[in-house]
Amino acid sequence: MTATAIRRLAYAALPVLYLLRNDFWFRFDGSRFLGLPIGLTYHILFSAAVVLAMWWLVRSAWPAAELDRLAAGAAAGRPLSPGGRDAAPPEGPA
Amino acid sequence: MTLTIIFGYLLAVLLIGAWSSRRLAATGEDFFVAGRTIGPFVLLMTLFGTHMTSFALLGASAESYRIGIGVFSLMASSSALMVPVVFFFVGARVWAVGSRLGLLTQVQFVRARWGSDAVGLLLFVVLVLLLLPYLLIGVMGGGITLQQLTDGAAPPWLGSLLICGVVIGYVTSGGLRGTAWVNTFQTGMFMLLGAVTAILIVTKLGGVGKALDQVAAARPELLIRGDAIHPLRLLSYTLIPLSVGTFPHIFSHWLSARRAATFKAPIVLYPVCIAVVWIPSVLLGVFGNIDFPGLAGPASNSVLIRMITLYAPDLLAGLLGAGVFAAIMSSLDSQSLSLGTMFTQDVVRHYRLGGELSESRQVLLGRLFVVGVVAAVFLLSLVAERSIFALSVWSFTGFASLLPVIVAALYWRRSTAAGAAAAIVTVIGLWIWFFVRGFGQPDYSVGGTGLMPVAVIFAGSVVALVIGSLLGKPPGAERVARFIP
Repeated sequence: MTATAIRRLAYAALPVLYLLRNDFWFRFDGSRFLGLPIGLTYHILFSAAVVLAMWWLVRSAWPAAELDRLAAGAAAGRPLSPGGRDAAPPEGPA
Repeated sequence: MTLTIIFGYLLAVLLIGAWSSRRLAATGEDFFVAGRTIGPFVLLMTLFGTHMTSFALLGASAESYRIGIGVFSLMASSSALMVPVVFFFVGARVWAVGSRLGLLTQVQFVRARWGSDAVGLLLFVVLVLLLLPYLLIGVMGGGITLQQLTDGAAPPWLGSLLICGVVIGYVTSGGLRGTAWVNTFQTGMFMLLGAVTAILIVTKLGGVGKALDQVAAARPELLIRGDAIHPLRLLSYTLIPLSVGTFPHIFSHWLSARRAATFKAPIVLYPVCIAVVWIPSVLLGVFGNIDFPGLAGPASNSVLIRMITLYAPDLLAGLLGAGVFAAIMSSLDSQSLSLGTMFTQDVVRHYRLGGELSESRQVLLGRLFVVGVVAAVFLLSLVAERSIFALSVWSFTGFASLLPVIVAALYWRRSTAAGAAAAIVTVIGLWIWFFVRGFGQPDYSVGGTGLMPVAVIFAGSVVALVIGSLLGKPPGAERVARFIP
């Protein structure tokens, strides 16, 4: 699998997690799992899944090059002038 | 003993703040964003401590007492997912742009992106108005907690005064670095003390299984989400944690990071921190029904304190008091410093009130504004009604609905100042419209559907941003390239 495909999968995991968070299937389930009500255990395990997903995201989809360009100023731009005013000429509607 | 532990804790906090001040260089960048030197561990702890208020200890247990374990799915797991996502897609980029352009505040960020003073000023007013009640809630919460822990011996103003005095002490001496160091200590404290409190109480209840059996026998509905939380409420509540992307105090901490990669630890470990604090709070709240059934209204807010008073009055009361103070101060410090930064940078420095500001005068003004903000909040806390606590979710709603503006600044080249202004004005209008109808009703939803107002206001913000941007003239390529390479 290419790096691009892995990155896209990592991004795709986020909406999947969003859907999984809404556990309508355990809404009325009073059973216990791992010693706790299953509705609570599910969300604790969900939090653990988020940790794994985030680890995967920062490993495979961290936009290092883009962030470096932004931070190092490879993109065109000037720092703010003393006084906190914007050094660039005003453009667009105010 | 309770007061001794609390005073000992406050002294420790002041000492850490004083120690951090030895590292302070007398420049605005060092005072307001710690010279952009904060590493991964301190960033994680200070972001978490700043984000979590005393609600995570007292409010979560009270809410769980009333509606059961569903509170974790509603509030904790939504933050566990959305907060790291915001850090990944927004926080790291804000840091990169901020570090390149020397930014210290959100208003500078918006002004630099669209070149509009008016949008910056509009955002400044909205942020200050949304943040003030949030500060007030923390200060009042500290006073009420101390009063309850001491069984009424300490008046509410004393706890509020203690918190305000200590926060002023370490924020003005150490700036954001002192705040971050103290927050790291405080976050560790309230995570540890919450867990210790839970273990001690649950052990006395005979263990988790036995306690759950007792709850199941008397109030089985508390062990399921059931009808207590409407599915649409669960779905739309996910938008509330997006507020983390527009809180001025979180923004300041983002800008303090050493490098972009510093964000990786907070992104991955944030859900762990949430679980450590929220699991004990939710379980203790549910278990409160065993010994204190039938508490209603404000009485149910103190269920955790009642349990501590019952099971371990002296030691635990002192430790919990310190934990609650830690949770309150770790938010209040960053909030007051961010307001001090905004008044110094976005008003005095930007409009050159009193001429050019030297670095040392920026630091002096920052300190004076912090003192002024905290003092004003303390005075307000003496006259404010307790109903102000209901404002917190409304404050979060406003902040969350402003996130599209920040996201557009970072990702949408065609976005314009007109679009940003339209989004902010729309948020103000819709927020007021819903607030007038829903304030004071804890379960208020749009048309009684279960949908939270934040969903409508957020959608309105996006629509206004798009329409306003398409109608306005986009900024030039050079300006856009500073934000979107």
